[in-house]
Amino acid sequence: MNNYIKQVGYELRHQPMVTITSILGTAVSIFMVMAVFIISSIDTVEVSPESNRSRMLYGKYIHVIYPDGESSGSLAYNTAIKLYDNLDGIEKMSFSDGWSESQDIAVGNSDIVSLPVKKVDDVFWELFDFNFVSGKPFDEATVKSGLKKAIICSSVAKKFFGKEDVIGREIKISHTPYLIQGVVKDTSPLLKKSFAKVFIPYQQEKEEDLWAESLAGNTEVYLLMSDNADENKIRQQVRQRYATMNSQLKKQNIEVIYHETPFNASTVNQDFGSNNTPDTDGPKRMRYLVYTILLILPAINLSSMTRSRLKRRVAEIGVRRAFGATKGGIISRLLGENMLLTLAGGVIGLILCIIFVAFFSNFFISYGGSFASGDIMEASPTFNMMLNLKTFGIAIFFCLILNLLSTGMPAWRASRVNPAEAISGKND
Amino acid sequence: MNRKLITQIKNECRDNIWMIVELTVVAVAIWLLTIFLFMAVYPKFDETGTDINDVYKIKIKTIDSQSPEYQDFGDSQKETEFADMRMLMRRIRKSPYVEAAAFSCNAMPYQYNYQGNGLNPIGSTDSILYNGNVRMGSPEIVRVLRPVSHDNLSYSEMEDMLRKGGILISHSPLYDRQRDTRKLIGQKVMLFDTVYPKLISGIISDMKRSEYEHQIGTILAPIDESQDNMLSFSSEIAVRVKSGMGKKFEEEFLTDRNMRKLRNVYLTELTDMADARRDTQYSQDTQVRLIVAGIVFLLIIIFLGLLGTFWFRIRQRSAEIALRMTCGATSGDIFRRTIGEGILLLLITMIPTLIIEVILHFKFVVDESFPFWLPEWLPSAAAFAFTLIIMAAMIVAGVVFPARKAMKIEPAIALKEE
Repeated sequence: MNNYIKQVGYELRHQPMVTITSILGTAVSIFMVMAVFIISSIDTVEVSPESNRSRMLYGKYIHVIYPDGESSGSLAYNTAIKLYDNLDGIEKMSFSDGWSESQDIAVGNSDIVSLPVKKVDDVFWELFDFNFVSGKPFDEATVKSGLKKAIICSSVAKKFFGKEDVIGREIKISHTPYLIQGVVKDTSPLLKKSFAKVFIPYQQEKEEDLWAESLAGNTEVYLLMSDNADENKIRQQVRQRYATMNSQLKKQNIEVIYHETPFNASTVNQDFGSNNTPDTDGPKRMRYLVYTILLILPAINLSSMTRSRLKRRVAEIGVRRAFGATKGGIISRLLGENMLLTLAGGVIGLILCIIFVAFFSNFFISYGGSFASGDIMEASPTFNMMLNLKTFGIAIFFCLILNLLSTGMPAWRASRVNPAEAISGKND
Repeated sequence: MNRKLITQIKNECRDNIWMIVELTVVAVAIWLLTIFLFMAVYPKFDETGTDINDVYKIKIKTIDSQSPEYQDFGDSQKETEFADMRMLMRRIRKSPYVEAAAFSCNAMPYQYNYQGNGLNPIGSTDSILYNGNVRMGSPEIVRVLRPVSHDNLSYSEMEDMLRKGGILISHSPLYDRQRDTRKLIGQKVMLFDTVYPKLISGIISDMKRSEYEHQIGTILAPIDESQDNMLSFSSEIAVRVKSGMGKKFEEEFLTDRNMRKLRNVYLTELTDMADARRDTQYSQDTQVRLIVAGIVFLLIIIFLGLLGTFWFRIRQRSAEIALRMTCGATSGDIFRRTIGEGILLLLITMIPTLIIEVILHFKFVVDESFPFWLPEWLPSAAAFAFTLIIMAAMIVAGVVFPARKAMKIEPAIALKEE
């Protein structure tokens, strides 16, 4: 190891420009790969309150075809039950409203503020691990009897009451009084499935709020898979239920179209229409293509610079070979030396990445226009959403790949030099 | 000189092949990203068709029947609510800070609702219909959003046209391709309902939903405030405040409860249209920033690659350069030769690049989503020219440091070292 460090020091002294350029090239490459990785994993990263994302599936939308047209939108409660209740491999199911909207919030005669309100049931609080500052989640009785109770975020409590301990106080939501039964820590609007400022109990839709032959309403379901459950098998069951539903609807000349529900976190957070099957492979393919370009281009670059650096060491390699070094030994030595340079570049890349996360990430993360005015400023991803052990692991993995790609070929060629020719300078 | 350059490039064949491969991949990637950028940004050069400076939108809502504040008016519930909407509108119009206010149904830009309607002039048998996004508002909507007349009509003239039940339409690229929109002026059409025919009264600019949107056609139709059934379409109020009075109006709206609420009807979510614009376009702005970041990254990569490679070459060839200088070459000659080598590499690169780009152009770039009012070759050709220029600039930047180093070589020292 000591020899490797000495060699890198020597290179830095004798070929500073080429060596520094190599390190900078690696840094830029690792930074870009990390930035793309971080941006694309915002929809799947597991952070509170969405710590169960890898085990969650989401049932949303129904697409109904009539003889003379079609409708699509959020599920009705009864449709959700028919399609998603009691599926094998599902541990828990929670109901929420299909689209959450901003509602007017006020306390006493205070100014009215429009804030996002989400309707959720009691199971919601088991699937999403909110951090309760005070109070407790809704229980089954509260939701079933539709009590006017609310759980608010601490920013709302501070705004209206100047403190967080406000259990039992009254808050008006769309001019209707609710009792506060819990206060939770605020979450990021980027965690789209759990984000709201105020939570109230979910209620099954009234008859007059149903549409599309009562198949559609304003409901969405969250499903928690058992450990080791296969999401494709769950989809097969849902597909079967669609077929059963269609056989029942045949008399009415209506058909419901199956769009590969329930979706996983990566799919559900894409913007897609309720009458479309989301493209799950396209974004994945695009991501892999971007990673490939981000690795291949710097690898060609670095490979050419590594070859340049190795050209000056042909004689030294010849001497090593003459003294019995094997080809494998030469290759592993060169790979090891270069790995130090790659890691140095990787560290600079990571530092650039941290700066990017801290100051510029919200310029490059799309919010899909999903939030109310003003939420964008709040929607900067937090550090723990972007930098975690997985991110660092990926950084080291990319360093290894880059090292292999950029040094593998030049090291292999260098190991094949003829010792006699190399020492005599004919290989220069 | 050129022959010598080509010989030089041939001598460093192995390194140059890698360099050409890299430059080709980068050139194709930059070309593709530039086309995406061009397609995304091109509509921004069109006028938006509205003026949102000093404009606000306010949502109209009614109190839920479960609220203790709810007032029951029995059979006249709806009539009372519409009357209250009119009263709240009068209160807004009375504000000293307000220039004009109108009920709106999909009239405001920077929201993605599309209320499509095909216009078929009464008595016409033409199968080609004019399609557009129907934007409805009180006649005052003209003074709020200030649509641009193509007939040099003033705002009050356009407002009068709407007040008399007329509609204003924009040019629609799709319709104009086959028919002349202007010939629709003076024709009567049925808009949604089949009771009252509407007269097409003039041409305005397309009122786009966002700056990134291509023109899709606009039908600006009136809401008659005196009719309850027309008012039932309205879900928001559009307000133009007097210049610079935005903050004062916001303050008045938030403090004056009478302006905001009357019995079951209340107004909420006062939004400056500049904020609505920012929020609505955030996603597209982000896409543009990502494309630009991608191009910048690719340029940095080739800059570093060229810098490192040419630096090493100059160092390796210092004896040769020294010899040439001894034989009379000036430092300018050496500089030009080094830069020329980089540019020649780029020109060679452009051969495979052009072949790949032509294939990609016909396979992927030209498809049904291509904006049909542009010549198909234009974005590809513009992107190629841009790629060539920007890569040439980057190559010069990457080679200029090694070239300067080459210029400064002292022949005697270089030859002695050798």
